[in-house]
Amino acid sequence: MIEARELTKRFGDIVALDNITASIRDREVFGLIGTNGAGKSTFLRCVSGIYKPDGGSVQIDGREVFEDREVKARFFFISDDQYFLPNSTPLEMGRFYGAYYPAFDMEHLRKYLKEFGLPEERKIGTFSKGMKKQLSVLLGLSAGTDYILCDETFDGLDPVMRQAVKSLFAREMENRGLTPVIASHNLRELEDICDHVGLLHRGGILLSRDIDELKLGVHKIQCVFREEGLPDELAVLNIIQKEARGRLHTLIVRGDEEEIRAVMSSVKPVFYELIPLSLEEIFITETEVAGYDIKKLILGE
Amino acid sequence: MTSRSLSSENKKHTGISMGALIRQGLRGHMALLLLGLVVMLFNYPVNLAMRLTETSRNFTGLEVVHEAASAAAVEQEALSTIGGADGPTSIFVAEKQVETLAGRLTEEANQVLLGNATLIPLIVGVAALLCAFSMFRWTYSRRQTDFYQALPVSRGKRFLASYLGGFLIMLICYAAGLLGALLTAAVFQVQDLMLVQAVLVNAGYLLQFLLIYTVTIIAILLCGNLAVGVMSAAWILGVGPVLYGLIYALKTASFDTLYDPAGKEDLLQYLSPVKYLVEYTYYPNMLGRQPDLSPGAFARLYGETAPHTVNILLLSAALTVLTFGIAFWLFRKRASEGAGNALAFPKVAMPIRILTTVAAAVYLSLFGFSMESLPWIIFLALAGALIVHGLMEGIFHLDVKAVLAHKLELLICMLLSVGLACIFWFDLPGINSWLPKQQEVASVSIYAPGYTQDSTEAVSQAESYYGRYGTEDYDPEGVYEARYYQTNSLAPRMALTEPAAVEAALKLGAEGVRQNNQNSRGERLDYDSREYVRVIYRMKDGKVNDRDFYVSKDTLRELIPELFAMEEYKEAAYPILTVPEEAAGSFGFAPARNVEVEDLPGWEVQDDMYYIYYMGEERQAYGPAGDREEFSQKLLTALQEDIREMDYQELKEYFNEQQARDERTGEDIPAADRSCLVYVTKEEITSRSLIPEERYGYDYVDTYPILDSFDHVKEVLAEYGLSL
Repeated sequence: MIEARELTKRFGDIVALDNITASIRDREVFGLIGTNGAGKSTFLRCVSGIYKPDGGSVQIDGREVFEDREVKARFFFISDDQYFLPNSTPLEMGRFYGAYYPAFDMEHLRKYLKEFGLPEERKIGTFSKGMKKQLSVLLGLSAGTDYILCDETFDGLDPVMRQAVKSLFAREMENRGLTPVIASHNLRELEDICDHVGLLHRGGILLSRDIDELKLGVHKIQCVFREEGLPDELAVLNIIQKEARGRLHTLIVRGDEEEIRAVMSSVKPVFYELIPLSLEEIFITETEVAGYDIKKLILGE
Repeated sequence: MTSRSLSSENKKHTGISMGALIRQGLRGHMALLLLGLVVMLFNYPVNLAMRLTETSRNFTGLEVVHEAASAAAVEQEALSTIGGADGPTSIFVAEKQVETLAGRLTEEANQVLLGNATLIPLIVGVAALLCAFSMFRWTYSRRQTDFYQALPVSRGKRFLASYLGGFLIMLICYAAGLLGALLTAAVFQVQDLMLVQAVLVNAGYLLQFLLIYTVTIIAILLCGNLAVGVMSAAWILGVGPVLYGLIYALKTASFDTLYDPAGKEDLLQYLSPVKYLVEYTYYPNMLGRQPDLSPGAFARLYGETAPHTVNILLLSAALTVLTFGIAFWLFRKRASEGAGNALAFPKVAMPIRILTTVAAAVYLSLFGFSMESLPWIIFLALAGALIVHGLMEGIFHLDVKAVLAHKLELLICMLLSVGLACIFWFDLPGINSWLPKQQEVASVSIYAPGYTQDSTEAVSQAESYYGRYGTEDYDPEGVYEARYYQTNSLAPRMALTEPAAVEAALKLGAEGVRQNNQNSRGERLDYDSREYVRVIYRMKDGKVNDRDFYVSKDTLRELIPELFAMEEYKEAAYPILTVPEEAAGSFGFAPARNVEVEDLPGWEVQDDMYYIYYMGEERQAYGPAGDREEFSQKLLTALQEDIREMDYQELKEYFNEQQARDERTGEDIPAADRSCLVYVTKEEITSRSLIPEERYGYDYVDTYPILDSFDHVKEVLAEYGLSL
């Protein structure tokens, strides 16, 4: 398990990470979202031992990451702009990494390259941005590490490739318990792959929750009543957000689904239905409750 | 395989080996390696092949003799030019040369192997910079920093791999070059190569490479950006000599009475590793002439230069270890986020800014010194500080809008610059007006080359011993260069303790200070009626104050004969006076133009003083046939007695006569009309015996014109059948 405790990182006067405490459980996909400059990359660089924390700690299974070769050998870091050796080919990069990662599997790499249609002996310099992204993921998966840290890795991948990569992640998680940590500024990219999501903003972590927990605990209700306004009986619900257009009300309610249905039925609306919330909507709701305008933070609206 | 089993396997894995890391590093720098190989192959085997071919094609024994003679004449001419009217009167002796082609080829090959006929000093310096930047430039790239620092390798191991990789590139190229040279020599069937010396010399060059390479790495690691890194390297490699130059220029511009403005600040130059490389280049140059590698022989032949070279090497080695430790520490401490920034260690910014700003501003104010204008000095210091500080701010912030980022610091820099310039302008330390109290002075030296032009001719002859007798002046550049400075070598050797001498020195000092004050007030000195005099005051507390003054000629006319009459003055001026009889070297007799000794019975041309080239005129030295040891001992004693009795007036008349003749004939050959004794010291003879037969003979031979009063000398010559 990766654990960050009161992790702080400063660049001069700028506090990039401010007392962040978070846990990344093994065999789960951890999504790290936040706007540009929120501190996602800094967090990953601290986790991967590139940056030395100015305060707090980052540990993997109780061992500090920074300058611990054995701990660093347990993860593979893919930066948002991955570097490849000059004039190298995918296979040469594989051999390069193979010298560092004892479990690096060249056969796996060859297989992956074939599956993704990447020429194994072509100079990487001639690859498109998307091909390089794919290659860096394939190299990371072939390294056989326990963790793979991806910084904006899905940016630049077309939907098909993105789906293929996600499938690979799932397969590796299934086969050998890989734990991917994926940073992105786009919540929609993480929605269908992450088990747990952390939201970073201005160096601090706004929330860190299991997606299932988030989805199960928050509901969206669209309902129409005979009278204007909400019936007083609905006051028993934990309504965290409400919106009305005439007699059509949209409510975001926190609580158990059955209990909510029972209350809704008791007030006899003309019409009501519970609509599943997207991850994006859940975040918007949760963070607005916390006093942040999530649309600006994540969606850029 | 499961995740857990993989993890445990990783933990057992010892990580990538150092060898693999270095190999990876080399693979990434193949272009540099190839460039190095090409340069070294041109520097060694190609260069040698061309030289050997040229030598073989042009060789004729006769021409070689002629060339050797010409070289000797040219060297003597250079010495005379540098010495000027007061210059050395030593005579260069070239031995008759009989060379073989094999000998010439061996000499050419040895010169190349020892790096003398190559560009190796330049290559070492440039290669150190290129290798350092090539191996550590990745630290300036955020992408590459992410890439390398995320890999499971400790920073220490990563540093060592990069460091050794750079060194290996140089080593491979160097070895290839030398091996190529050896193969070339074998193809040309060259024999008697100085292989041991070549290994030692080139190992020394590799050490110099390591020192510059390591210091450059420190400069690189302090920064996070290539352009700033290049400036940082230039700064670190140049700061010592630049500061030295600044202090020297300020002292020269301000302290008129200081004999040696360099002073101890000369040591500042040793802050730069380039200085060690430059100093070291003298070593192989001399070693090329030295077939015997034993320390004793080396010391005998090259005097004080051998220990100096050893010191340079030891210092280079110690500094390499020290700077390696600093570089290693910096690399481990260097934050990865420094990549892309101007500085990776922001704390060094302020001291570097202040030092650079103040030094540059004061440098600029030197134009004000040359204009002798205080307002200009202040203006230039202020403007210089403003401009340079702004430039530094812009560079460090990578933002031109940040030129006034630290206003208080700028103000301090301006005040420091103006203050420092004013300290020198107003001579606040009181250097120019300093004079000692008589009771504080232990001994003095007085040397007035200008006035005593008519007397120091004989003095400077005696001074040519300097370099063999080298006492106070340390001459790291070798005995040849020592000759160039010999006009001033009398002063440090002299230590007059007689009260009259001390009084004379104080009197000269007082007048010199007064004259200097007049000059400073704008009352220009009349240099036609004044002469330069160097006075050294050695204080009882051990301090030495070495001063230059301008005093009136009348003052010197009064003082010089008094000094000449002092025993200790004469002994200082003529070191031959203190040579014991048993340490006598070898004397010869060089007849004046109008003296014929061809038919002198029992005399012969001296084999070891075969040709004398003196101001372009060829003369021969003669000696009695057979063992000349007794002859030389007798002449030494006789000459010592004659010099002790020599009257200043006679010496002056002799040189007046010579000067009149020179003016009349335009020949400028003072001793041409008078027979001389020619003397080679015992040390010179010993050194000469170490040089192969085909090389030049004695480097220097001293001449003593035989004055009319030299009765003792004449008696000895008459005893051997030569009557003057």
